[in-house]
Amino acid sequence: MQNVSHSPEAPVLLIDGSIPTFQNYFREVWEFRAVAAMLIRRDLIIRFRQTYFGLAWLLFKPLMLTATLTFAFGFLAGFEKSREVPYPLIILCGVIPWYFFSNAVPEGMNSLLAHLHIIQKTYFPRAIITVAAVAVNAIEFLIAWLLFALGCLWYGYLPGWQIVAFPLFCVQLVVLCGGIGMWLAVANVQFRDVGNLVPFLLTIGFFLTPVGYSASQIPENWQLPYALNPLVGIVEGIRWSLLHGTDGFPAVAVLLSLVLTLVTTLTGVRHFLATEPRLVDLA
Amino acid sequence: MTKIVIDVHGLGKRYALSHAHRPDSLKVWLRNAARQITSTDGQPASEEFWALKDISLQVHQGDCLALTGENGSGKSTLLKILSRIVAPTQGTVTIRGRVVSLLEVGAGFHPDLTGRENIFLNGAILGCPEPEVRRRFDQIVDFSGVERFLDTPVKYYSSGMYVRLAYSVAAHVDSEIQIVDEVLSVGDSGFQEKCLARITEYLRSGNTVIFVSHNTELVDRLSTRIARLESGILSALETRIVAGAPAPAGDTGKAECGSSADNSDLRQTWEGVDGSDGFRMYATYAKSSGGFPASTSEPITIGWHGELFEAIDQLIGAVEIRSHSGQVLVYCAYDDTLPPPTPTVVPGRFSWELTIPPDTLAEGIYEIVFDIGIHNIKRLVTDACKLRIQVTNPSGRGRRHPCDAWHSLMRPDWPWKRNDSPRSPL
Repeated sequence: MQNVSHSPEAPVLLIDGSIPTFQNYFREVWEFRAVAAMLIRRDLIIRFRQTYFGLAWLLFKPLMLTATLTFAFGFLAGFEKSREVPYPLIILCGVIPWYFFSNAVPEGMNSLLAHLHIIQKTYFPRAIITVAAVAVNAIEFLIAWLLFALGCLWYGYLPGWQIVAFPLFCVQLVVLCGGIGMWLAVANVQFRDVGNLVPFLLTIGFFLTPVGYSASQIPENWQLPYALNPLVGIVEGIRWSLLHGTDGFPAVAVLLSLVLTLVTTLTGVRHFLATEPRLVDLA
Repeated sequence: MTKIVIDVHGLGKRYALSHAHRPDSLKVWLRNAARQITSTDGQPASEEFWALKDISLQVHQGDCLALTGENGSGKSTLLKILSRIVAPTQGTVTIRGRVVSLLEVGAGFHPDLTGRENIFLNGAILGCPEPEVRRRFDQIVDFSGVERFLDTPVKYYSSGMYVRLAYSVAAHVDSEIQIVDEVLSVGDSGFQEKCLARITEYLRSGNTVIFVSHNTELVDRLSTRIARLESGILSALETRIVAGAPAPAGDTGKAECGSSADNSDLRQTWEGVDGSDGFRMYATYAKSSGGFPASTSEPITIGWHGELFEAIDQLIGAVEIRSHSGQVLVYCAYDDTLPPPTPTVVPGRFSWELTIPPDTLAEGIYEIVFDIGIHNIKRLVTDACKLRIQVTNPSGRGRRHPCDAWHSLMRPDWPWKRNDSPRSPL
């Protein structure tokens, strides 16, 4: 499917069942950007309509997770408390990205299936649905950093110059969620097993990601296989950027994570585009 | 004349009935994969099913095409391919113009959003940017008649209100082509009339509609053409003459109307300028001694006046007669009986004429298309100068065994020879 020409009065469309090129597809996504905006707005409205606390939920959930982890790892496991950075801030740097990841990935995965009734009745580039699902969570993710800002105020802590790298890690995480979301969204339409498997994998992933602890606590000879989890590089990168780089720059993990993000996202988009024409037939 | 807005060419859609091609679970998929590797022929057992097969049709601007056929004949599959919801297995569709498809009223409505919010959401999904929706907002609300409940979530709407609002959005989105599945059967009769009036107005302003309906009354009332599908095959394509139907847009040629007022798109003469390169067509005409509609038993003369400004090697001058459904019945060139090669034609004024002998065409409507061109290079004229004539059969010749008007497109008076040996009666 491709747009052959683009004059405003008579657009010519050729439908031949072929896989669209990246360029044509993105042009079309751009044409339908209003749909993405509407879907994001709709999801944000739905999420907080008929709730009493509204937006406070956004901050409350990561806060509770942080408190629990501080209790579990900080007191029970007896990890070092003697650092110059307050322990809850270290945890927050892991909880906020993890919280985003563990919401965005299942929502991206379910996005196509949940919108099947629309997909079967009307056309717009389907990637918009998955992107919007991840984007809604990304907005919440950005808002959740308010919690970190409040924590800094509470402890009278100020991040150093490394904070310039912080937005880059955030963008990388959003892109990674989008890439994984695209892979899983298509897979979930085809094989409903995926919907059972992924929440379980996320539970395991929580322990394999430095959320409640720091990657420096992993033994030296396990560091490399551990860093094959792309979240390790991102979380440690965020910690480095916000917490004065106390543990030094996690170069290997960041590089590995960058490569994994790019590979996952590019193949994810490619697979999505290749499957999209058959999507309704597969469902 | 009218341009083709949808060109469907050799369209086919195949589904695999067996689970071998459509696994529901990883288990089935893995099992099939394993079977494919281990089996000797490597072919998974599957049954193919063609929901559509080799569909070719052209929809012109201003047409209102009704797709009819039994359940499972492929109507909805065709609409889904035209709406880009499923991809064709074979063939192509070319669409010129902005399409709005209404395969289900309110697809994309969200129950938790208010009527107002849903208008914008649905507008966006139908490809209408927010400022445009904002501009038409009052019109949409007016048409739907739900203004009192605009700020109520649509989950509290009655089904009638829901449908009215949803249809109103779609009806007010800018488009040149509307694709509509059995959705006009919704709402009360008052609203239905409103929708029909809206569609008629839409068609009158030169837009195109394709719709599926089992409601024969509706098909009769709206459609200018009917395509009938049977088991995925286009079994009939019929052009209807609708009383009071708008003349197709762009049909600006001088029309000498036939006697019956409802055949307003008939045209026996054309005057103007058409042509390219060294050739100009000034006029085309069809003549019959008794006038039009012509009688099947009278000869029909077809001709043109034109001018050639430069010598052309291998000039073609031909007439094509097409049936009401666009099928080419006859292609007849002036030099068909002469041996090759074609001599070079020198510049000058042309007046060429061709006579269709009596008793050739059957009763019906025919298009006369002129083909002036350079052999194997290009056509020098366009369809702008084509004619559309009606032929009737007042004498009743060839009607000893009456049959339906479209039963056969030609009724030539070919000689029969009988060689019987009658047995003497017992």
